Amino acid sequence: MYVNNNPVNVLLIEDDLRVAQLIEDMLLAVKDVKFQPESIGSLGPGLDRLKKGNIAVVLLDLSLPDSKGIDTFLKLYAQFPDVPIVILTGFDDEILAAKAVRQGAQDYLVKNQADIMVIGRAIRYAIERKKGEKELRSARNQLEERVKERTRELSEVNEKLRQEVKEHRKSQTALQAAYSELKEAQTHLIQAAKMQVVGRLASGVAHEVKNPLAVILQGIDYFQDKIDTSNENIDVTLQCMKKALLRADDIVKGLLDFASASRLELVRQNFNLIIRNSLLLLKHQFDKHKIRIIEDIGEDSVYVMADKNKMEQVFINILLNAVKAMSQGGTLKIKTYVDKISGVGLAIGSRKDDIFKPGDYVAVCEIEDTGTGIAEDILDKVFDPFFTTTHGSGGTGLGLSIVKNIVQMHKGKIEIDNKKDGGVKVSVILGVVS
Amino acid sequence: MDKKKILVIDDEQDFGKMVKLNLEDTGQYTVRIEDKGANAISVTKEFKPDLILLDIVMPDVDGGEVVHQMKKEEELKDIPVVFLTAIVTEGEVDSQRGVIAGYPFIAKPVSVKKLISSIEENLTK
Repeated sequence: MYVNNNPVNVLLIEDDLRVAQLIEDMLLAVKDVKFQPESIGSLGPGLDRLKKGNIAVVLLDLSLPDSKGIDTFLKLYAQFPDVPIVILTGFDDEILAAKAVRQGAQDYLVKNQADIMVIGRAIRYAIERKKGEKELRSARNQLEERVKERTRELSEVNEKLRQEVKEHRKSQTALQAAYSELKEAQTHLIQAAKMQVVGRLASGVAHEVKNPLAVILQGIDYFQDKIDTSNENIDVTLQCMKKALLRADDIVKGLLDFASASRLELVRQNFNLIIRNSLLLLKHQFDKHKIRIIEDIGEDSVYVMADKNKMEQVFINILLNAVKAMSQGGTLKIKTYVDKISGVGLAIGSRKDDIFKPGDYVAVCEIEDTGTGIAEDILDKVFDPFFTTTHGSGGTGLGLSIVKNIVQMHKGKIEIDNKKDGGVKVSVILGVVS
Repeated sequence: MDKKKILVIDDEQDFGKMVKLNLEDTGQYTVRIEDKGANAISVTKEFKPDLILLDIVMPDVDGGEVVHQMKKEEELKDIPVVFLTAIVTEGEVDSQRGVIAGYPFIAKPVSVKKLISSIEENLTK
């Protein structure tokens, strides 16, 4: 391939002028390749020459005035890795030359032994090998580039996959949410149906139970008047009977209250005033149990459609529950405010609810106590009729179910939850009217 | 002083009996009981009570209908009536100040003491 007209520029870095001349002569004498040698006596100027370019091969003596030994090669190779280097060496540093070859030199020639054939061949091979090396390097670079590209593609695919998994998870969460919403709606429906039945039963039961109770009460009163009540046992017996009767009556009354929520007189009312009234009615209870009240009730009038008596009954019931939970004292926080239902993530409650639509304004009353809280396993039962934690101490188990019924009849919402720091928080939410 | 005449109209016969026992026991009242709404007018005309305790929910003629008929009779229309009922709560009675549709109310079950105070209150009206 060197059989052409292009000269092969050979840089000879050799301080021995005699040797340099000899080699130049030999190179010029080569017939089939047109070598064009030039000689430089030390490494520094040699590097300068190389910087100018257009050198096909370097013949390098390792012992130069400005550099000795293997360093000579390394310095040059570091700066011009693409230029093939053939080491020129004396007998004494043949081992060194071999080492240089291992480190990247193309070949080495022993001075005074090399004839024209050897030098020519060495130079040609050096150039060929370097070219091969270069091609190999370029192929390797290409390969690396392709690997990089493939890796990039792979990581893109990977990222896409990750996104898909994420999307999948998201839709799974949405599905889960929809499912719990459905379940909640179902619970609502079942609850509503239960309420309806209880409501219808209430009047009937009340009539059938209260009449006999009325007879018994009259009878007990008669005995109390007639019998020698100085006999303590008789007196206690009659008292117990009367107490039991009144308890039974309380249950029936609760049922009636429950049913009567369906007969509301809805009138435009000041929400804050209803709450103030309820608080006022229970002032003595708070004082008696050493309960501190923190009031944050808006001064403005906030209007809602409400049956004042029934709504007061709601708040009184909630407040009395709080008192029961703090019978040894505590703090009751009561706060009202107006909120706007936002589209996503309702400010009120954690779940979406079709009672209020995004953009609706609602009046919220939050009542927090520092009492005993409600065991988590019964939290979803507190609104069930006849569910009570105060059996035998006056609880009929109808209070909160009536409260919920009344609130729902007002097209409102009631939520009850344990607070993280103990106690219970109840929120009553009604739609605001202008 | 003459005893006041109280007519109890209630289909729950035992209730009537017990009220009669308790009221007459005070020595202040003469009580007659009637368990059929349909007989209300004739019994009232005959007994001429000073006050009627009238059950609302009765199987034949209910309390409301009885009052409606009495209002049409000149000799009966001014007799005070106190309704007795088992289907309203005390709370409801209180919130209406013991009066529903213009008539005083007593929620069953009722103690003798309360019954008497309500009778007395309405007799003087």
